[in-house]
Amino acid sequence: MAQLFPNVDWNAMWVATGETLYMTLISGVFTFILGLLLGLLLYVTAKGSLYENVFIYRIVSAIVNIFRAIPFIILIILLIPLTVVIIGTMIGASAALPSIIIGAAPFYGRLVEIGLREIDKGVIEAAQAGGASKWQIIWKVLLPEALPALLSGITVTLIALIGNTAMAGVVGAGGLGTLAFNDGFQANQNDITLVATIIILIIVFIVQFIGDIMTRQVDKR
Amino acid sequence: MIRLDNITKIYQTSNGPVEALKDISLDVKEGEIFGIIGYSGAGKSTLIRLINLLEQPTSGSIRVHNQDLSQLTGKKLRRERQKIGMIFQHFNLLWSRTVAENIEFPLEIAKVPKKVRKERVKELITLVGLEGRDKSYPSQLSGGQKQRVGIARALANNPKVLLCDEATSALDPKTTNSILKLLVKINRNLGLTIVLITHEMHVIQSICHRVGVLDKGHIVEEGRVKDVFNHPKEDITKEFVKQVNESDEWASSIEDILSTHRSGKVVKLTFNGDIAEQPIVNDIYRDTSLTINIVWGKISHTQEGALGTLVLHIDGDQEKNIEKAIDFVKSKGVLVEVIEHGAAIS
Repeated sequence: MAQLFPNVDWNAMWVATGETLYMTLISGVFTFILGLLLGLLLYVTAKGSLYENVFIYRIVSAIVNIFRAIPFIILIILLIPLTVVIIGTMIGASAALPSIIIGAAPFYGRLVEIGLREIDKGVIEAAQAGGASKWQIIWKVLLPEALPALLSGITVTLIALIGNTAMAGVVGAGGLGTLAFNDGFQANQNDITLVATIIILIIVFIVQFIGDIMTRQVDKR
Repeated sequence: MIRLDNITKIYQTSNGPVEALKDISLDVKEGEIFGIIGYSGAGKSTLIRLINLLEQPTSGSIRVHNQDLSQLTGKKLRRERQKIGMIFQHFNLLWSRTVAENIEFPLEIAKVPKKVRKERVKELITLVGLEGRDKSYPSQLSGGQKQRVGIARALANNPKVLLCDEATSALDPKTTNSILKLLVKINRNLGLTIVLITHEMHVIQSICHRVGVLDKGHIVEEGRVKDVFNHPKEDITKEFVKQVNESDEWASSIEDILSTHRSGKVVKLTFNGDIAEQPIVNDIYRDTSLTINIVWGKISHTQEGALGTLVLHIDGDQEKNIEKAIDFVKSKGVLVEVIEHGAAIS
């Protein structure tokens, strides 16, 4: 190992891996919650839906589109003031979280909306005919019926999000991205870049694998 | 039981208002199976959805169990809906839930305690004949089994009314009949009032007591199924009756006989109820010297018993004897029609 990757400091590598996992996990959880709320809001306020409201739909839709359109690297810079307010600093793994979440949640929100739209209108009608309230329809029909789409959506989002944690490294977030950029690229130690890349790939594969299994588990169609 | 008074439904579309239902009044009695037949676009789906207020009428009133539903909103309306079951053409089951969980769904909605729910689900599974399938998912069931789950789900909260939205239209003929039998069973055993919409006259004929014919948003004809079948007034009703009488089928064979046999008469006999079981043909044969050729025959089963149709070619040396035979058949209470050349295809 030492000969193959002469410049790699394995302790630093594992610390960086831990930071990447930390960023992925925390931002993943918040992205899931925020994206779910955004997706539900988009779905229920859309035309002909449970809480049809063209005004709210257009506003939420516009916000989602704008945040999805801004390149992530620019989003990080734009969100520095907000990050300082929330986290208290603009350096480190925690400081990367707000921009990662705000970058990923609108994306996931759209996937949630698409997943919900796939649900047959007939089952919603059947629930209404059975006397279900709107909340009961959301909890007992919409979310369970869309679960496979929600899970495959969060898998895709998490993978994009891992990429963003690495990019956040460029502005000092820590993690494998910082290591690959600072110690690898800028110090011209390509073996560090290579190892960091391999670890990121392994994380991505594991996430994809678990996501696929879970999606298959809940999909009874 | 169910009373619609002067219902009008107008949809606002981008091409202006469209009148889906015009001045509909209906009275469905308790314990009755009432069928509404019409072609697609006639307004059937809208009409059946008005009964549980999935569609709001533009004007008019809807009373179910003496409760004016069109005046209700929110929680009160939802509670009334729990007393009205509904089944659908495409079943509309939750695929993420098992058979038992699907049937349990309306009970959860009604906030029935868990223990009571489990008991009720068991009863319902037995009622619709799905024993052993309770842990299956809808994707593992056939169409007929899915509709049985739909029926069990619709009955979960002990409704007094069941609405059937083209409930057999997606099923093959054999499965259709088994579902129709199940509907008759629950109508009789549970005293359930059933309103169904369909485009298949076979469904009306097999299980309905009364029928309304819907055409372009109007009820053009309404009455007891037997009367409508025997004496359809409107052209559209005649078309629907033809669906099951298969008159086209025998029309050509009658034309053949009329053109090859210059003598004798072709008669169409219509039997109702138990006359269908009497050996009338045998009696004519024994008592006269006539020759009798059976051209076509059919017995259909309706709610009011058997309805038989028999087309005979009666021939003999004397016209008088043929007349006598016809009178004899008439005296037995059978409806007799002499079919002239060219009149068979009507």
